[in-house]
Amino acid sequence: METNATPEFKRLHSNVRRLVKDTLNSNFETVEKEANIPEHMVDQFRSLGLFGMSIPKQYGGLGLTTTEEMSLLEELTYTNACFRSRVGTNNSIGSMGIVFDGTNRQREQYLPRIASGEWTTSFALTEPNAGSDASGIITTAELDGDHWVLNGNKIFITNADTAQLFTTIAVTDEKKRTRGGVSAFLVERGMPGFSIGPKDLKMGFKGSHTCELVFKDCRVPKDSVIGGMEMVGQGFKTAMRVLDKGRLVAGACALGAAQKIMDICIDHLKQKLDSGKPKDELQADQFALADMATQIFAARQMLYHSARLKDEGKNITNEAAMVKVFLTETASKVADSAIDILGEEGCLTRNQVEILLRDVRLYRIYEGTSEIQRIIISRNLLKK
Amino acid sequence: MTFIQLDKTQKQIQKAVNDFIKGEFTKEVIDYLVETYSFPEDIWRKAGEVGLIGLNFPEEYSGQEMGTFENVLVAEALCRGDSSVGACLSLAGYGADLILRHGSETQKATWLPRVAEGEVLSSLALTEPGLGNDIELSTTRAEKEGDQWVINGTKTMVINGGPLAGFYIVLCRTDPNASSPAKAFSTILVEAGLEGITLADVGSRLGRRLMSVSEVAFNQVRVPVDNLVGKENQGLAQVKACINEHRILAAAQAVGIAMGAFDRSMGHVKQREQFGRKLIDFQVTRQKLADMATKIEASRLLTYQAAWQFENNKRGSEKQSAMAKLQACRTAVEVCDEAIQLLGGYGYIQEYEVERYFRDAKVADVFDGTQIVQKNIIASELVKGRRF
Repeated sequence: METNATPEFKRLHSNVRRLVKDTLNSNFETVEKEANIPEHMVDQFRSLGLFGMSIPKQYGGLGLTTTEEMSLLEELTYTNACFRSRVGTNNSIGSMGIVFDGTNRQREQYLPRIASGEWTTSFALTEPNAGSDASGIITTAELDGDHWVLNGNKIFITNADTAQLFTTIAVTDEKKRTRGGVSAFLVERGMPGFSIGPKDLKMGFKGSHTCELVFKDCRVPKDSVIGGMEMVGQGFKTAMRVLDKGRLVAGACALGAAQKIMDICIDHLKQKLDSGKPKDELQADQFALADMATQIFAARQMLYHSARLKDEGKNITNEAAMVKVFLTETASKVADSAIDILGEEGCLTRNQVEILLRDVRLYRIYEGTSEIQRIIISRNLLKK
Repeated sequence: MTFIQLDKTQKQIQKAVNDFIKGEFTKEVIDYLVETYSFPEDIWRKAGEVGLIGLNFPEEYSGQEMGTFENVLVAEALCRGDSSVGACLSLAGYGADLILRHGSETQKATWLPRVAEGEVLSSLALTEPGLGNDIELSTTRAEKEGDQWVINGTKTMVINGGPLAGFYIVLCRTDPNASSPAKAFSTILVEAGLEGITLADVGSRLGRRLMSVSEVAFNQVRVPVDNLVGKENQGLAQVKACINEHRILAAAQAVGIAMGAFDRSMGHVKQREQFGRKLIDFQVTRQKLADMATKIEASRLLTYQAAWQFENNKRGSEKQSAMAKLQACRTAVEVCDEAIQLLGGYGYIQEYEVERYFRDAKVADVFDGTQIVQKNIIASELVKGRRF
């Protein structure tokens, strides 16, 4: 935490730390096994305001600075990754479209419910044939009187099982496409022609769900376009801005997990030493641990440096992409090395590293793969 | 392509195993096994029938009289076909090799055919809770009472320790006053199902989820003195030699897993289009594939060489096995990790299989000794002067 943190934030920070320590960690494996987060825990997220960390105070959110938010995310991911994911979409991809580009009416209508956690939100961009290349989407929205008619499929949509509101990106002008022909829509659960598929079976994140969305002549009111009718055609920009914000978030989450994994290794090695294993026979393990700590240290500096720049109003597109690559890859490296330190025991689910190893693997894929981040970074460096 | 020219028999074996995979490793069957965490019992029994288990046993014990090299070819192909089912079949004889190398005629005649024919699985019970790789700290003991051994203690991470196991080879302390671990242990054959044996699954785990891995507790378990395998108080050396041989097979499995993940990646990038191009047409995709293939080839050669050295009793065989295991398992982990990345979001979804290959690879990386353990072995062999 920053040394100049406000007393209010310090209190929140220690509350979150306590929540993780007292409640979330003791349910680390239950959430994995039951593939679900108990509602009483979600209520605790609500009462701490964790669904609205990044939503402005005027709409009922905590209105945290980026630095503060990263600091909380790091705490909140010092456990099973699914807990953070439950509040994740409301704080980033599921709400930021409205925060950035929504009309006042849309903000007033939706943001308080999102911030309180009454509603969960999702962001629907990815399609079966449009992953890294989001410009390849084929979901369409056609104006028909007072309604837009949506047709298409979206996949891997986080929190779709519980969400009430879906920021959905669709093509509104086939000729212009990403140059003014894509729009962002606010689609509510239960709107006619909108259905949600079964939960995907994934490598990890067992307690957090992704599903397919199907739009079949789904009719949504004309004013469901984020920013209103004058923002028709501007949806691709909105989507890219939303994703931009998510990069630091992914980094912070990977960092929290990496720290947790390292601390499990520290406990394990201390135990080995206490039980009489000569220090000399654990030198390789000690060096591996030192490498983990060094990478985590570097990762943390990158994250908070970039967060401060963002809070100062600087453009951090490049920094954010580098944070996502470095921090998410660091988490995977730390997890890989941890299993070697822990040995066969490390492969058992009851040793939480097994869960974390599978969970952190996602961070290198979603919201822009490491390859996409490298494209962004190099493009910026070579820009004329 | 290999640097070694396979002979006619070896080519026949390769063809037989590939035909077997084509016939038995159907997507429908494997999906079901994966979904239900089931041991591939039918496939295993059929593999026994067609002679893919215990290839290296003598013919009189239902084997094919083949060597470690042929075992490597089979393990590689099976794990390429499917990383999880492949592991189950390749490790069916996990405990039998110790009998093959050190057992009495009776022990061989009783157990080897049953393992080879796919009637029972075999187990090695070595490590204990909290010990990890330090098996020389084992406390399970066997005491002689009349013409019996009485065994007490708890072993864990016992592969095949489940309902299909026929026997356990248990590493027991038999000389509590020995001056060093090298003279303190014996290996004792314990039939599964004897009174006093309790099994507990070690619980859910990262990979190799289709096979049983258990904690096996022995409480006053009695077996005849003749169940001693090999020489009394020489158990640790026998086990180490056996693990040395297993490392070569572990390397072969890892090479197979990596090849399987490579196959699936190549299939994906050739058909998947993004940014108006096939993924295969991006330079970075090609560089990744080139890296993956280079690592696989290097690991494969190292593994084949280790098998050859072991079979021909060459000096430095232990070093070579550890190197092959280290290199091939790292390759498998890295190649599978890259495969997930090449498949993107689909790579994280179970249906696309590479995430399972990755998890199986990571378990292979740790079993039969972690990376640190392999390097310890390599280094001590190097210090002894067995360099290149």
